[in-house]
Amino acid sequence: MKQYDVVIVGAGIAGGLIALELAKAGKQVLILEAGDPIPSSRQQLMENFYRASAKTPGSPYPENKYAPFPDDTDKRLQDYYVQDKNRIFFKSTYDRLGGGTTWHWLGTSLRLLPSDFEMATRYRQFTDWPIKYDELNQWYSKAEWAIGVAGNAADQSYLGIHFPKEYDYPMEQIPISLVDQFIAKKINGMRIDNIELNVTATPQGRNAPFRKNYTNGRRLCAGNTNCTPLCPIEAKYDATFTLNEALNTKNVDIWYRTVVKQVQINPDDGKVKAVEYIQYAPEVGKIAQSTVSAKIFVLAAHGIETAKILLMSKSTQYPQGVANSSGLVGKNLMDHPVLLVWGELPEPVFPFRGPLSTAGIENLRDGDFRKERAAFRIEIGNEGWNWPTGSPDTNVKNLVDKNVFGKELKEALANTLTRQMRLGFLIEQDPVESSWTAPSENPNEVDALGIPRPVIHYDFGDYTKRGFVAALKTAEMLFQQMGIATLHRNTDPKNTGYFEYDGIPFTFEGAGHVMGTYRMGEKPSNSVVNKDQRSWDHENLFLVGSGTFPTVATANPTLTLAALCLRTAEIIKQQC
Amino acid sequence: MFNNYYSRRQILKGSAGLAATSLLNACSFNILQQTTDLTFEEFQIISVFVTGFDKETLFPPLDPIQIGKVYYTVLMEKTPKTTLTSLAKAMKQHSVEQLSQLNDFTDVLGNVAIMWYLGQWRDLNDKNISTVISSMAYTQGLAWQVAQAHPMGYSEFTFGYWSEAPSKYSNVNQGVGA
Repeated sequence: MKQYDVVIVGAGIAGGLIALELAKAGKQVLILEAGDPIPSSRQQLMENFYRASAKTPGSPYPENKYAPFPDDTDKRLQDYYVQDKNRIFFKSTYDRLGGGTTWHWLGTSLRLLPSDFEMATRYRQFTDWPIKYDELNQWYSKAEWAIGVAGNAADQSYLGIHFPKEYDYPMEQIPISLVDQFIAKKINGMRIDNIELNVTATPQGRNAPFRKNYTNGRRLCAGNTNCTPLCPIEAKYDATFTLNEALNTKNVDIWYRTVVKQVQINPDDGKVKAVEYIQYAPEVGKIAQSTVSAKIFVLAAHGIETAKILLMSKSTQYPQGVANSSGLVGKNLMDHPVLLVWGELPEPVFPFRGPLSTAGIENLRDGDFRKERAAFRIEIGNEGWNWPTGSPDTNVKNLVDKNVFGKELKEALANTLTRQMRLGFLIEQDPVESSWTAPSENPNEVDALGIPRPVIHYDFGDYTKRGFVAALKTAEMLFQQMGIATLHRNTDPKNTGYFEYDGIPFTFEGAGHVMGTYRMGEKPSNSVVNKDQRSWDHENLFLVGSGTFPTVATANPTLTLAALCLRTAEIIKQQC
Repeated sequence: MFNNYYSRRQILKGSAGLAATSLLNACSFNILQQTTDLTFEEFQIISVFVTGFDKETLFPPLDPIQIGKVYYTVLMEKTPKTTLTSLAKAMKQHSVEQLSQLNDFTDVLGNVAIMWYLGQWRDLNDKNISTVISSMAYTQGLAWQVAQAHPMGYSEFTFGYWSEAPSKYSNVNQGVGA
């Protein structure tokens, strides 16, 4: 059997970037992917989307009972996650197939702020990261070029963010939408809590004109307004580009439909000696069970599956599971819970056009207030009320149900659909150990291969809830400034994201950001991995992806996890 | 209007598709027309009334897509025969506008509007269940036209168009031409 230097579990962006870097250095790499191969036809996936009754992030991607994954309906969440119906739900999801969750990521590629790495030092909250912005700066730049991010460095130089000298993003900035332009006209210069606000274009992993010395094989973004769940023309980065590049080196093999069940440790030296896997075939089920060895192992199966594998790997010597001497594997599960608010602008801004989001209000991502409450970023949506209410479907059906027909129907629809605007407040979640995931111990809660489904007990603390209160207050001020008569938001107690704080009812949505479940830190007692993303307990085991984030701040996590992976790849390269 | 929470992700809790329906060919279309009281011409009159679009837009003389025939076929298949018969009978005596005020027909007329605007068939017995008729029906939805946009996931525009107002239309609040 072929000898591999490195075995990587998971064929998403984290595993893909590490595989490519190692392969370029001549290392022999094997990737094990639980899900199906990269689909051969994007058009077929689009057909699935067009025909889907619920156009969820997972709707284009066929369900797979041997490597199931959650989707954004309450039913699909409950089919996979095991959650207590009397609690708030964890609503964020991921995909299990070649390319991973980047198939339906939005593409937002924000850097964390320097202060985000120092929450304890600056604000006496939580913990500092074991790595700081300045050390990650060059890796951020490499990640922006690896993904192919469109943006202007000058516009992103706020709240302490800085770039290497002479640096700029590989592609020009994506033009901001009419919705963004209207909001900028109304709110730029406005002050909240003595902080001046302005609309900033978002750096995004989708194609704009190239800057010099850069090229990629993707097409220019045509504004399909469908980045999530699927860009129909491959203008948006997804990890299949990285995987294909890695496979083309001939130094990388990939085994699809290969579900890792356990990590095996050599009792003599505490190193990982092999991973045990089950292979399956569609319509057949399990066809093989075996192990594969390597010098180094990388788990890149995202925040929930990576924790699940570690916790399934219990043995006499490691009764808490692999890499879990701290007891923190699966703990501190975080997201950016989203407060959605929406309203009708006083004039047409023509939403439902362009990428789903092209700008945001970033000024409130940091400030002295973080001693007391969570920060947030404000994402401006270009898809009208599609996310919060299901527009245009709901608009049509509500009018029809009031017997509004003909010219009146057409005009009423034109009137609302051209003026709809929504904001999403992505709120900084506090790490709390009461928010956790673990494999189910109930023999009935298993997938078709008999592997436990993940139990999730989702929670966040008052720090985050105070952030919701501040977000709502900010939303009210912004809406007034924009001349919006009515602020809509969801306060339905039946919503699985319902909670009350200070007597105010709230609901939240998931941002799709699964973070924190194998956190990095300065010492083995309070973290699972070190700043290199290496397990404290097993020196040839690396755990990568947003599960290593000890705090989550307010940036969408993909760019940061990519930067960390590129840095980790360099470390692995030197070791094998 | 927003007391009930409907997300994009939850609103269309449809079940199995209408694939077979949308694949019906011209032959079965003709059979349907012969064996029912509601004629295609009457369906055209209903369509023009409920959508507010003119006949030439909904049923162009040179039309390779002929989505109207698909919708007619779906309507005939999914609506109880008794409802269709009484609708056809009533149409011989009253205008569609008059019928739209009668409880007996509002759901069916509403479904015709929903088909044209959204490309969906809504279950007549359970309004929480809607099914996308076909990918063509989704992309042909008039709602996108009225929004002066494009179906989500189906843009024929080019890079950067979203930073400028649609050029084809000027005064949207007065209603949109097709």
